[in-house]
Amino acid sequence: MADYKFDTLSLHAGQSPDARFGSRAVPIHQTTSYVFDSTEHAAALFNMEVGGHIYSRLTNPTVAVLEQRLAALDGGVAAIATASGMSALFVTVLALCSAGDHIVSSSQMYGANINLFEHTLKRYGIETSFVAPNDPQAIAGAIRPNTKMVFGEVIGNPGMDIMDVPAVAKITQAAGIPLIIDATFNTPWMVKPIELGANVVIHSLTKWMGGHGIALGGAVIDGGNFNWGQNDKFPMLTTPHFGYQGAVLWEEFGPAALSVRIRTEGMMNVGPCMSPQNAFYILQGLETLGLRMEKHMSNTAALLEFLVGHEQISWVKHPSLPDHPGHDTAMRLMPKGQGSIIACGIKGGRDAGRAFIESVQLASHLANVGDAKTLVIHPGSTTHSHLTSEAMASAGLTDDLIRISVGLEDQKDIIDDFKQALRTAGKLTAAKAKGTGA
Amino acid sequence: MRLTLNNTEIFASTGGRDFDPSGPVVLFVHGSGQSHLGFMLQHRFFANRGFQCITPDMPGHGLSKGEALTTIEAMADWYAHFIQALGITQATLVGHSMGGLIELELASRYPDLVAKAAFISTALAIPVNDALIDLAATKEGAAIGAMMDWGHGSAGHIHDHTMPGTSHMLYGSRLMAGNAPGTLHKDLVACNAYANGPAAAQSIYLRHLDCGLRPRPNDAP
Ligand SMILES: Cc1ncc(COP(=O)(O)O)c(C=O)c1O
Repeated sequence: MADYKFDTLSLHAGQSPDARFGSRAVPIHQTTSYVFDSTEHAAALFNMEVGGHIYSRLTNPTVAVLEQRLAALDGGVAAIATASGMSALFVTVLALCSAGDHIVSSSQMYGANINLFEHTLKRYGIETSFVAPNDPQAIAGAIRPNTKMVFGEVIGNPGMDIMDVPAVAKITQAAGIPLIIDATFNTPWMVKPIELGANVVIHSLTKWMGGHGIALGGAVIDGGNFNWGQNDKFPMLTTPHFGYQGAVLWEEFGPAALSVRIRTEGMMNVGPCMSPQNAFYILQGLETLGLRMEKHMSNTAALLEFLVGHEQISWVKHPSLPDHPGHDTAMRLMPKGQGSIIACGIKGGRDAGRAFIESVQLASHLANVGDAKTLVIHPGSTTHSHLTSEAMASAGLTDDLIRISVGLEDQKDIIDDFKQALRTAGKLTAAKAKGTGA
Repeated sequence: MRLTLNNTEIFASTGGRDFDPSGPVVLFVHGSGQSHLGFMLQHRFFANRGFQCITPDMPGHGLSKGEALTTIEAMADWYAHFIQALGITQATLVGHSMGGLIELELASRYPDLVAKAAFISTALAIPVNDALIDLAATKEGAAIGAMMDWGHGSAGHIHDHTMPGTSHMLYGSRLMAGNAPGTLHKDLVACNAYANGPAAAQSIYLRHLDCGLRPRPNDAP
């Protein structure tokens, strides 16, 4: 029997057909709790001697199928599904960092990630240094004796700088700390960060993984490839755990120590669990991840061809373009495709950008990425509006930037929509220039 | 539990409970390229039911330091030494795969130390294919992959598992990759070379033999 390939795992991993009724689809176990066979069975479950479920804040059979599918797709020993991508990041930090600790993070992150590190965690005594993700030496230089993790994305959001994950993994390995990658923008179809040396993967499943813009969700995938016992930096894993009868998780659970800590602390005591219904929606999305990603990539290539050199477009940014600073790294790490996010600048600056966004008819103007439908947004006036111009610049943003999340519609329809919106935006800015605008 | 044996720091897991050598001791003997982690559930199960469970990692395995031993006979001597060092008078042994060979040899060399022996997925001899031995020497990761592939049934291959959220097959691969480099190769060579199984078995006083055969879950009947 050979190892199943990606598309097969996307459909099957984590699920044997239901033994009682033979349901082929994953049943939605819409329940909070599970009847014990006996007091002995209950005790065995609480003592983690046998597999099974106790209470859905900890585990749920439908959510577990999703978790095991995610572990299989990203090559991790275990996964924990959470209510959102943000809570996946939070429960991971909770398992690794305490007051007095330090994090090195990419400066190009989703705004809420930045705020969590820069403001919320700071109030609890955890400090973060922000560093350019495409500068491994700067990352190395920012690591301190109390640094507990390096965090970044393969493709930065929204500046799209590329992290050379193998190079950074060498640095974190030498420093004896884990490399944690938010893989939302790449999905395991494009690249599996754990195979490149990362130790933990975090996803917002809300985006391409679920893929249809219908359910929020997140996940932490434990690579199981980090030796938590190599130094004394991770007492949460190498000293007795209050949440587990004083067990030393690294000794008792080895490669799965981190995920057991997250399950028995973050999920148990904070509780950002995923609902079984959302797990079902996201599982439906995962079934077609490979198919969808191929079409996302080919539609992105077609739209790029239209945009590059267009007279109303001042610049286009995508890792597949030879003038992208991370082009070579992106092609090496992600040869199958470099993502379906395009950033571009519309000539005429902020007003033209706004006019374009208001003129698209097929594309949707909203604050999300990775939907099956094409999405557009002007980050300067929405997702990143709370940042100063300097902070925006350090996150790789300019005022005229339009971010496009290329969907799965017919290529020609997407391009035609952009054509008409650019035409309208052009007329508006021309009229404004002449002083005859409305 | 950590102790020093033959100048090597050794880790032994006790199933999450304190260990009392005067109680009924169950000693788990891990297989090739494995460690105490392969017995995590069984361990906790017996420890919670009044047994004194102890699972040492052999040198080069799991959390123990040192280099792997190279013959089944040396491994049997090592376990005898371990049992004596802990002040255990007699233990019930549970051995998996190579652990079963070690158990046979241990019971025949040191009959007084062994009360009962249980064997999981083992035989009187474990000849190992040359190709696998070579692969373990040259590409340990590929050898681990091959063993994981053969060692799991259909449920394992689709990452279905009773421990929610866990991929048993990927956990097993990481467990094996966590040993000192070269350990798997030494273990496989030791299994392949061990020829004393039938003689050792004959020398053991057989009071009772239970033979349990159960297909892997979801394997075709
Ligand atoms: C890269 C990245 N990480 C994390 C998140 C947060 O995920 P969620 O919205 O599921 O909480 C987002 C959301 O936009 C994101 O784009």
